[in-house]
Amino acid sequence: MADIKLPQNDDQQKRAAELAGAGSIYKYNHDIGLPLIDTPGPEDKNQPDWTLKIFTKLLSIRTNIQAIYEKTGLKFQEPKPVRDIPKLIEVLKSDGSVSDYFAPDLGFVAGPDNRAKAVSDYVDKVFVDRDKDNKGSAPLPDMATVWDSDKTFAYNFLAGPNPNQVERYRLETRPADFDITSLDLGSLPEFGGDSMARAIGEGRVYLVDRSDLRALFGNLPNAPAPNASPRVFKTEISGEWKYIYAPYVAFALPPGGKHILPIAIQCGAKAEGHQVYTPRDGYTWKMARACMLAAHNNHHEVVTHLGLTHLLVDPICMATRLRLHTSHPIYKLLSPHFEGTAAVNVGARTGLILPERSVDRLVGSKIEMDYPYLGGQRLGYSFRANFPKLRQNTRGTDNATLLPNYPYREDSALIWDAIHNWVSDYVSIWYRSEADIRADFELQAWANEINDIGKVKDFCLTGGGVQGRDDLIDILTMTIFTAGPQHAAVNFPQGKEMIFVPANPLAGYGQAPKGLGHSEADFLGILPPLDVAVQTWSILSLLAGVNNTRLGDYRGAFNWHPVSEAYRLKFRVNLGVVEGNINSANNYRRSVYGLDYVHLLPSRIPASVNI
Amino acid sequence: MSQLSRRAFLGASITTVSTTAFASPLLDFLSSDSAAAEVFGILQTHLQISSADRHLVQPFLRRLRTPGLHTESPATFQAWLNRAPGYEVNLAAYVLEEFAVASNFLAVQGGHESKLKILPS
Repeated sequence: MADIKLPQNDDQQKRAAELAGAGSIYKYNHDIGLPLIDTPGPEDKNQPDWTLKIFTKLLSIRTNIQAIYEKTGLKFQEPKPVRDIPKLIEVLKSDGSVSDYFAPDLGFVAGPDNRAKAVSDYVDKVFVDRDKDNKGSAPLPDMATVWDSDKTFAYNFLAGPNPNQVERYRLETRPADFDITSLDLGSLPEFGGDSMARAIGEGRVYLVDRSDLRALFGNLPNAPAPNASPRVFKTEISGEWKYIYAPYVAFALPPGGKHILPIAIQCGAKAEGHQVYTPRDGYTWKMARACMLAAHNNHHEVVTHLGLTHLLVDPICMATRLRLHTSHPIYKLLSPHFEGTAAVNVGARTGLILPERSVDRLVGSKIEMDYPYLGGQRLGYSFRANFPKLRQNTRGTDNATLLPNYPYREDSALIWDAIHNWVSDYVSIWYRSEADIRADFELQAWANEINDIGKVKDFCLTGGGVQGRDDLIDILTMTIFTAGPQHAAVNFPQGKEMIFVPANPLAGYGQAPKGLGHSEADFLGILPPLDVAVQTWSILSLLAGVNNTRLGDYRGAFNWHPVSEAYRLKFRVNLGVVEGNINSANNYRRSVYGLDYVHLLPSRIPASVNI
Repeated sequence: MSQLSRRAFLGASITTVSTTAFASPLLDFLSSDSAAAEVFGILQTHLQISSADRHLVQPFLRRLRTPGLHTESPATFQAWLNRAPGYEVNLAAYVLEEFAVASNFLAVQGGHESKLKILPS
């Protein structure tokens, strides 16, 4: 108990001096246009269990990479990664890069061998180290067998890597350039007798608008090649053309249906010759679906994943280290939710998201284009308007009758409530009155730091600071939700839904369809080449393959304080109930989609952003 | 138990291991004192594992005998034992890599823990 105190009840001079020490360790870095921790401090180190998981996963990844070299005939620029004792010793003694040792950049594959001749190439030339029982270091995900249906395509937007982007299609707010009101809905399979007017009027039509990627077009680092339009560029490193699309997709719920289905895709602006395609359009439709997914996944990696989890939590972590003394009750609560965050973010900023490194390689946009776009999206993101239930209400996706079987919405609500209850209990221990909040000058400085210096929009209500216990409970719940469940929801699909490239390409390698009558070859031409598919497998396997720390586990931080520990145990019990409810729901989802939604099972949610 | 040379280790394995039904004899061999001596030699040479930690070798070898707890198949391992190209590097590096994930070596190396141990599988 003596270990936790509010500042107003403690030796203020001593606390101030110790906090000043934190100020000498933690500095902001603005290299990519956002306020981020420059160098991790002693509290930000990953624990040894994390290091062990990284090592174990990379060992497994190398096994498949070696099998790819030995069995597929793909000729990468770089030699096969092999065992090397001196380099291994460096890695084991922390002097070498573990990922460079086990799963280095393989370079590119030149020539026509690099293009898939059939979708099966993405199985046979990527998931090589698997036996007849689908075991080994590269098991094929379920998505590889169901990816090609329209139902699975829709599932990607409700339970895939970027699951909170759907909004209701409303006549008064729909994008002016995406008019589907005259679509012959009744002619589509499963919509017999239905009409757009009726479906829109009943609120059964939804869309995802990725025309926001047009913001990237103006950020091209260099003039595009002479024959390229503004949204086309050639990657210097591969020689392959990569394309960015700014498409729209509409979905509708058939009358009495169990799930929405895609009904229309437009791959860009009408003024540029893009038309609306429907599921009747054969391979042209499949190309449109691939363009939509490439854009959606480009947005996922740059904005939803990096910008709105990693880089949103970062300034909150920074302010916690700078403004809350280590004996502050909110520091005690939040610190486990920042375990490894600064370390992984600095690692990303100085490696993963540098030009011509992993993210640049895999997603459609170039990194120089991403920084200003990412900055705008992250700085414009309202912390409070995106509390999940409020966001879904605003977007018109909260009605389970009009939009049934939306796994992310259903599971995130359960998790949010469990966190909210735990935080409410915890706050009630340390803040007995509203006056306690007002008198907590460290807490007030913390909130203002995040809002004003960390540039987290709407972290504070008008007037600044923390305005009461309910306000504190809300912002703590959102902080923990973002660090744990939200990051889990957008990170771990990389290893399940995104790792099989045809199901979820991260970039397009062919022009968006124009006209009708496209072929399978045109469709394959949009999908990433095989070297990119291999690198995608390698990187996403690592990012989704390290699951460390667990929501509700505070590494014994509250063992010494019986009341806090009792509430924590209650939280764990509640998470156990949520786990059971999600497992039950998954039995039904399996019957609807042929897939489970496992990313928000509490037993799989880390406490912090650490990978 | 005297520590055998790598040559003796390989020789023993070659005579013990059948090329058609390698699994059982190989696994038997991995339980032997000579295998333990060879593995300890590798750990001692490259990681400076002390004699006081010699007792970790048998539980580590048990992991190497357990399906699913290591990265290489018995066939690959047997090929190295049969002096396949690169066996000297592969054999030692394989032991070191597997030891790193089977033990808390990385945690000890990082200063998080002080006493070396084999982790529960």
